[in-house]
Amino acid sequence: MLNDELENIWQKYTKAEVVNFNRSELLIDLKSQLKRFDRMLKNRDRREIIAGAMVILLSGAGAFFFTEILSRIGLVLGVLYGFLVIYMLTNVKKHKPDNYALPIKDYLVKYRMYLVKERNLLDNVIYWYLLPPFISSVLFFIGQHTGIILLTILIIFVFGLYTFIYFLNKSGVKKSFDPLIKKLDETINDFETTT
Amino acid sequence: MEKDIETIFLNTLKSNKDRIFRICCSYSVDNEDAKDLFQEVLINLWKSLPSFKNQSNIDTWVYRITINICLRAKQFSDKKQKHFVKLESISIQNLEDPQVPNENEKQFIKLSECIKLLKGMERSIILLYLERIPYKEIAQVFGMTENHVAVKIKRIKSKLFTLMKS
Repeated sequence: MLNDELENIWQKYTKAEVVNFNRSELLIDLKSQLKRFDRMLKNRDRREIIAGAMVILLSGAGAFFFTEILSRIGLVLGVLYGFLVIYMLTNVKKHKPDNYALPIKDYLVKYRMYLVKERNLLDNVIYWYLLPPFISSVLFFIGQHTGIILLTILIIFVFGLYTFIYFLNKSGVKKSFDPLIKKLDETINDFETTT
Repeated sequence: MEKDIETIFLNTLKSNKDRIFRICCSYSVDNEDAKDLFQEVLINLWKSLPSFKNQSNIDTWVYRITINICLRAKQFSDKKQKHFVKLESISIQNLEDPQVPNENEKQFIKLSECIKLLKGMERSIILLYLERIPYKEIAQVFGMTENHVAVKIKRIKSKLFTLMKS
């Protein structure tokens, strides 16, 4: 096959106009769709903050009403936990690259950095998402003098639930993030090697 | 100012719309998928245009956005893409399965299929080459040197020849 034959095959067939649009309607369409799209993104981000704010509010109110010292410590930890969750979730979003006008290599490098942050967030879920509310709830129930049997049942239940969440996240890291990061690494390396 | 942006957008789109769509096609499983991807590219072009600085050619800027969106959505995401954008003012002709394809169409279909077998970045590079974009511009789109682009294109072409023959 001659060197420029590929080009000829492509050029012969791509002369025809495939995409058509109405100039004025398109602009109206784009403006309204963009508004809708932005609103949807804002709502999604708000949902995470609202969930954290609910934890802060409920734990804060509880800390005010419950008088037992251990329960109070548990609830104050709950308030701190709410702030931590909001911080962790919003912080990782900040790194999401939204400047698509970057050269492909630079965009992929930034996108990889973002994926690594998301991966680490999931991988370390035990430290920022599971352990703090676990300690907080155990302290709360000890303070409530629920009795050793009920406390043990609660601990076993919460521990079981958290173990499930922990392994679910670990599997997400292994199945989704690691292969994607590996694929990105290969592509980025491809940019750097000419031989 | 807004009028200027609108004019730049419409003119840029007019001269690049089919090219953008062809790039989207090479990353999509079918025509519908390509249409969704094309609309996502359009909305991002419109969104990014106010921040466009005349440091680069506007076509280069368009290809960067198109390829970045395609790569992110189709190559480096495990999530099924949700399509929230529906632009009614755009009409796209269905290219799939021409009833009795002539020789040119057959070759084009084969070439398109072979391009889809290439790795994500190779696909974009060869598409820009086939669209007769100068090496210098391709280098700017990808953030590579012209020499590097030339070497890549040579290698991808030889891969394509092999695929076309098989």
